[in-house]
Amino acid sequence: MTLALTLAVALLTGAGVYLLLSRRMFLSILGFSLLAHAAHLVVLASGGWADKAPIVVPDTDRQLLADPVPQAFVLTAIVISMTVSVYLLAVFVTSSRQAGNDLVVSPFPNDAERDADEVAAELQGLGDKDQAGNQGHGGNTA
Amino acid sequence: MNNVPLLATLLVFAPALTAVVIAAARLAAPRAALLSAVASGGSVALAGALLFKGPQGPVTAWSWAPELWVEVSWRLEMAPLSLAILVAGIGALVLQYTGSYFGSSADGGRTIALLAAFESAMLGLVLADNLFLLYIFWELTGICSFFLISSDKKKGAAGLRAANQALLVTVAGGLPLLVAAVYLTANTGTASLSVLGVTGLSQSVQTIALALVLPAVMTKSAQVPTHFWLPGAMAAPTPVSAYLHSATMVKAGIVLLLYLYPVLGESPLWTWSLLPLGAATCLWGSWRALGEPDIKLLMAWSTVSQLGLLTLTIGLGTDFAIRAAVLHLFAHAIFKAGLFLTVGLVDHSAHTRLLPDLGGLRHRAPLVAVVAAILAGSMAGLPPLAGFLSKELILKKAMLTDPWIHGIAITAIVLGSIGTVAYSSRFFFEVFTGKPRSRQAENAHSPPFALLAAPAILAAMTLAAGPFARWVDLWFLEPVAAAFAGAPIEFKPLSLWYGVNAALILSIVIATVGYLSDRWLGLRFISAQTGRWPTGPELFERLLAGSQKLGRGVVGVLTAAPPRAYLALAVFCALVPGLALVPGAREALPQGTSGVGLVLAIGLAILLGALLQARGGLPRVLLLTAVGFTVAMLFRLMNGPDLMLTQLLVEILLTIFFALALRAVPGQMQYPEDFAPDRWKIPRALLAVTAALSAAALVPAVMQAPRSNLVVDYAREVAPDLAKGANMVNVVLTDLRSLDTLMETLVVVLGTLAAVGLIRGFERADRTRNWHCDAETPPAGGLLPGMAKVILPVSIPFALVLLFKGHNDPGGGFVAGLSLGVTAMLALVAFGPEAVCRRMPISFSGIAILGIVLMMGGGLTALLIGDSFLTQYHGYLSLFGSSLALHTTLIFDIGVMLAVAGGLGAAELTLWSSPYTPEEERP
Repeated sequence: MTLALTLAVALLTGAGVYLLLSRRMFLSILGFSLLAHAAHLVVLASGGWADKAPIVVPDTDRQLLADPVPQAFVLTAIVISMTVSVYLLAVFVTSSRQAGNDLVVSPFPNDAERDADEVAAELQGLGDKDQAGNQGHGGNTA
Repeated sequence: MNNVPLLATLLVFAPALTAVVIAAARLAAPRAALLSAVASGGSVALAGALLFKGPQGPVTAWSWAPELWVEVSWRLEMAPLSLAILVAGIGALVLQYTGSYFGSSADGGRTIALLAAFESAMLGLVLADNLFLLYIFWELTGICSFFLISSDKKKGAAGLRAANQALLVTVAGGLPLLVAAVYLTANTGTASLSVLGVTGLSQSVQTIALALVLPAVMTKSAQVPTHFWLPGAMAAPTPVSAYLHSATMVKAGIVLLLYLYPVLGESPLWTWSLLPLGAATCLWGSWRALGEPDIKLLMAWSTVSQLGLLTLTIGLGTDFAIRAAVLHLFAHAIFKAGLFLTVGLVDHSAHTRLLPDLGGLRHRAPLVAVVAAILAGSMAGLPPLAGFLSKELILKKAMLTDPWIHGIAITAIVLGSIGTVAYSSRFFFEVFTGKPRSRQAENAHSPPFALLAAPAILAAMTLAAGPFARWVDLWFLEPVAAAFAGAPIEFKPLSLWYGVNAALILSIVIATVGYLSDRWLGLRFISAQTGRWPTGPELFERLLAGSQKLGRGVVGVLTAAPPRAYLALAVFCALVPGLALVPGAREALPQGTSGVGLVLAIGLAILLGALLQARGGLPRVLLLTAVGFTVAMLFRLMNGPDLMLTQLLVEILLTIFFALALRAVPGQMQYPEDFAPDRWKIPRALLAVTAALSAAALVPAVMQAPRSNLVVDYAREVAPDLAKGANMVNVVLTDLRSLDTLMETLVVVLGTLAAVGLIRGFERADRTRNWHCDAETPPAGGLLPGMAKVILPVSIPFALVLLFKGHNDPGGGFVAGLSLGVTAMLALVAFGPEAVCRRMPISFSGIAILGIVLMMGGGLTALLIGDSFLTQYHGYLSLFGSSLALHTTLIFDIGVMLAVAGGLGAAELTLWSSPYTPEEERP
């Protein structure tokens, strides 16, 4: 079983990472689902190999039963991965409707240059305003 | 009753109290100044009284945070108290002067309140025994000085810029001081200066601490190259400069050095850092003062030079040098405060501070000329004034050290002092002698007595020091210097006349050369040229602007990076370390192979290959489903029937959700015109292969890893009998780890409801839409309703059977909930949302919340009974001869089922009700 699991995890991780790093959100979500499968299999593998399902039948050696704890972890993990996929799909739907496509781009364009000038202008304005305010103030007291 | 700590605290905070009163009552300058000056006088008196009580160890006024070694404790010894008298005494004089200087102008009250607050901070600084308290006051003086420097509103933005620079430079230097305090405390277990002074520290500790203290000293006491904020700070009103930049704030660094001399003085870094630093500062300040036409700036550069001289002297590192430095510290504080006040008088009389416009003032303001002559003479170091005493002493002490140090120190002192004599004589002669060079100077008038009083008193003190040198020595210098050095010093008594010796000859040379060089050599013209070099403030502004630009650039690059770059980084960080496992994994692999497993793996390879090649949304989704089913089979092979069941149902639901999502977005995506093929394909593939290798290596590693059987054996041997359930996975989920399950169910509900909110929120126009009973979405036609009528009556009981059987057989709340989710989807599609909702008493999200409430309710009941949260109970009910097992876990599992089903139903309803309609087809 080790070889089969190892191969499965390798394949799922490889395809998952490749799709996850796609520009299109739809493919990224597919990749996420594949990576989730891989993760579930690794956690399940940590329980080791056992002959029987973790269900107690009278008069069996319980040491032969599979470790139930990783199975319980994976069970909830499957449901949560599904929930995350559903949420990602909702993001995919709303952003695609907004932009007309599902490309994932940064919402912050690189505008360092323009910012510097803007900030300088703002500072200048502040100083001017300050001075003007003081002159007004002086006028009042005089 | 011991009221000393209280008195000391009052001494420190008395001026600040008046600041509060002034601010609250909005007092005008004259009254405010009177109040604050009286309070300062009170502080002087208190300090004097405490001096008479005799030195005592540190007194603690308040244990602030003793576990962090932070407490309000004062050091009531000779040295701190005499400094406190200096600070408060000059404070009283300056405040009195300030009152008349501002007259009735509106800003005066505010400036005086700030000055009083600053005075308290400075008093706290000199008296603090605790290093952390000292640091707090250190920064408080910086903050007060920021407001004081920027308080001259006529200067506007320029004043603000100067204040900013002073604050930034001194605070930046101050931060390492905090580190030094932490470092010293961590090394010695005490933050008390008095205790540290008698604790022998190793040389390395001393050196590290000194390296941390140096930036604070350099910035605060304006040492080259961080001196430039001080001339800039001349934007402050003149009385402020007189106080901050003569006697107090700029002396803080010097005072700190003196305080730390017993603690850190043995470090070799002491001399080799302070000596060059002081020498450079002394020379540069003196040089720049020579060419400065504005007499206030001239005084500022002179202060830089004198601070350098003090640092240099302390840097000599002998007890004698400390004694000379103490004397010069006080002498300089007195004559420089007086000189700044005199500059204020000149400005007041002639309405200009520029040397080319002044001249001949001695006829128009003779008293001012006398005061200025005494003070400038003291600065130049002429006998019999205080400045002569201290400079003589410095020269003598510098000669008592080893030849190298001696050479550097004497050269710097002599050259710096020649400059000092030159600019002092220039200041005096160009302002007061000759003919007026402008109409303003011609019309100058004598200042009122109220303004003249403070500088006159300071001049009298500096004049008296010489003839009374013996008493100055006995009453002041001997005990104070001994307190600073930590031990009594053997010395010759202080005197004006020691006989003809090297120091005297040097003094004569300095005075002669200095005077002549100013008169005849025109050094100032050369010096004025160097003033045109890029100045410190300019360079600092450029540095600031540059760092801000760099910061914006970095932020710009980071935020403009495509989000997947961060994903790639995360994948890299998470999976690449696993590569270390790869070599070991190869040996573990052959153990146990399963034919069916290999077939499934090969099937997976084919499906994934197809998935990567496929085009179009739906084919990809169906391939994903097939992959999921294959994984479910792997779960079966690993003897996880519950997992298989869950995975199969999840795959069905995910297929539905993916299909619904594809239905809700534009069928034809519009890509930008410059949309090119992905350039990242090869890096992506490389990272994917790396990640695949590393993740695969995990599997044999975790399968073969030795594991503790503690938890497993409990789950296998004990739990099934205690929980009376045969399905161990279900027992773990509902009983052993039910808190975990509660949280995870909560995540499912939150995730699905968040998806619902996202889509409903996006359709803002549909705010009035009744999502629950939506009549807009029609039922599907065709065979589906007929089929649903057959399937639904079976599928709901089927889900319930999965739930009930779950405790002993595969099944349980999650599986039942997922199965109900599939059922709900079928009903929604077949009959339309409206028909479904009419048959449902509460909405889907309501069902989800009810599920959580059930889970929590059971847990809270256990809490009420007195057991821990989420304790589950098991019992048997005998009924008609047969026994029926009853578990509270069933209630918990019903909660799970409802929560999962409700969340899924809400998401399905929302996605189903919002198909994409192109712009032109919308009503």
